[in-house]
Amino acid sequence: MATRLALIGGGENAASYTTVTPRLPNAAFVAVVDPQPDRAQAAADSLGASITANSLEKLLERGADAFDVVIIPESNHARSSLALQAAEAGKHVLTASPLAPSVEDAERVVEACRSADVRLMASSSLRFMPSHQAVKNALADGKLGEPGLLRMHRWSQPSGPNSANDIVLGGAVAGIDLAIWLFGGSPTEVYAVGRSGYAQVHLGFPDGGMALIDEARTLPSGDGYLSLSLIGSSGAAYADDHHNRNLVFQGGDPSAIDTGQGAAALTAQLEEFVSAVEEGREPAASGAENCTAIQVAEAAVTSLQSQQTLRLNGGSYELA
Amino acid sequence: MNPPKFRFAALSVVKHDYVPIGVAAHPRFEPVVVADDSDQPDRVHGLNQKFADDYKIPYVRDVERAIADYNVQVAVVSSEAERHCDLSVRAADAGLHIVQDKPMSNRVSECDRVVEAVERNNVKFLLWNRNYIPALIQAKQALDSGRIGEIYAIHSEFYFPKDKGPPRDPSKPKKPTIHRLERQKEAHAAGSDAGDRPMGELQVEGIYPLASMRMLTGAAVRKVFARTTAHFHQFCVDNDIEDLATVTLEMDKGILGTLCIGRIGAASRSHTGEIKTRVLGSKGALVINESRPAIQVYYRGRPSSDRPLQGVAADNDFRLPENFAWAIDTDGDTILNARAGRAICATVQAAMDSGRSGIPVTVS
Repeated sequence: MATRLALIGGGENAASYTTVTPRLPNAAFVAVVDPQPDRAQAAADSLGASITANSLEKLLERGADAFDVVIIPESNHARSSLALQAAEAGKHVLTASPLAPSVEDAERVVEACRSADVRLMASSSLRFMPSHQAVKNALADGKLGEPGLLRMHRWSQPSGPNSANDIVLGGAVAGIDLAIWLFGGSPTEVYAVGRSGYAQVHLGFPDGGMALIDEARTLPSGDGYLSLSLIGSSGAAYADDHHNRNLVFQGGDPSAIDTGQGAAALTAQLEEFVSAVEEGREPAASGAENCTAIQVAEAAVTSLQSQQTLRLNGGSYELA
Repeated sequence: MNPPKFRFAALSVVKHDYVPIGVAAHPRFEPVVVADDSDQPDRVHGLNQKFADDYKIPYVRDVERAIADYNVQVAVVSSEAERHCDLSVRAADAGLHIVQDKPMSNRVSECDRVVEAVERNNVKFLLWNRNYIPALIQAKQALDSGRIGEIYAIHSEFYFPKDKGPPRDPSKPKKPTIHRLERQKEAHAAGSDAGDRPMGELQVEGIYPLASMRMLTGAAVRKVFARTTAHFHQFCVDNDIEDLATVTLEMDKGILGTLCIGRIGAASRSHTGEIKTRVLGSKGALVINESRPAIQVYYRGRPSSDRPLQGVAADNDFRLPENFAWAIDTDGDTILNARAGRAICATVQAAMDSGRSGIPVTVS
């Protein structure tokens, strides 16, 4: 039987799943939750779902047996409480990263899912982008040798709270998670600087490894920018937006446009989670891994405030 | 009427002969003598003599006598890094304007001597750099036009795709530092710096990205946090120097920045690498590939050593002496003067200190 999915949030969020649905042979959307009934219905129609509700609570009251998985998007800022609610109802949880605004809250969700014996994935699509998967594969195949330096730039438009702290505890968690994933463990050193709309996080890993991640939310409306390079001891991989742009000539300076990577990242993310549910195993980008990334982000915020380095000591980060 | 030519003395050509070659190629400059100290090793004298022969000019094993006898107005210094400043100070004290090879020095105290001598003697000083690379000039123009607003962050990735001996072998015990002179011979033959004490990539190449970041922002670096490691080459492991470094930069005007620098090995990049600068401003952003323009050449039977990507921007070596001549003519400032070079050397030193201590360091 196909895994049955309930999506929290209609509108643009649901639209991103419409191209993914036909690519998932073992899963189907059956329900959409949105406080606005017309948005919920429109999303349900586009996804082929038959149930709508204006809250997760109502959905659980009316049709708890009709779905297996709750998907919580990045745009929902009550992710951790929704995840707790879903876990307590015995539903598997696929939520955007970060799982919660603090390690403490995130660990509560992880524990709730463990107690309920349901799967929990907390991830941005960054890990699942074809370009990043290819970099990871090159590393895993030994082509790059030992990872030495990860460099990542991620720039977008202002959205929501935009202080350096907000950015580090929000979007930057995905970059930190990516670094931990590629280096295969937690950083031992954390330093961060920032300002309104911008933050940069400097991580040190064992054996001299290092990562620099900057996240800007100051671009004017339009396109965003994402660039990643991984320098290893015997090779390097460059997933660089600069190479992947096409030019438009329309008078004046030409514009560069991103061709994107299609719906592959979202598809891969859903496929992995559905497989983990079917196989009763821990998914990639698990909640526990996300807790680690949030812990590093919290250390980065402490660094921002203290202007000091933090070092990993017995499982927690302390001022150097 | 043609503007006057400046006669120059090449004070040691042991390292990068492209510096005196670049100056000699400019119509405002004329090489008239090569000079160096008599107590230099035979290898140094041999290289100096070769340059003198190539240009059909004399080689004099006495710097002060050459300056006195050949009516020169300019000194072009391209010795080993540790002798740069001493030769420049002697040239300044003789009233010569100076073009000096990079890095300025491997000691901040030596840079201080140059700043003092240049200012006391009221002569011009140009530290060799890459700031006239066409992509950087284009970036500077875009920034000056205000198109991306006020700069608040700048990032440089400067990966140098050359090897430095055999790769690191973690199974090998660390060996004592190799003989300095042997290392210098090998390094200079490949156009690299070696130093009287081993120099890592921050000291050897850091000048280039730090100079361009300074030019683009007009801001000096005040504080750094760095990670440094010997990741690629056994030579760097054995000599406790870095071949890979990341630096967080806190600059004037509240500008934040990063520098990633590494001698990442020939296998990890095409040609000179895709050296990139990224600038964020209040109204937009700029992504610059310094290695453009370039062409790519593929052909059947191409050996792997013949890399397909070839940079074709050669303006820099002409425009630097052009800027130097302009500074002399107008009493203007060179694109990278002694004080700026000293500030960059101090930034590098602070980054090395931070890399060792693991804490942020204020630039002296």
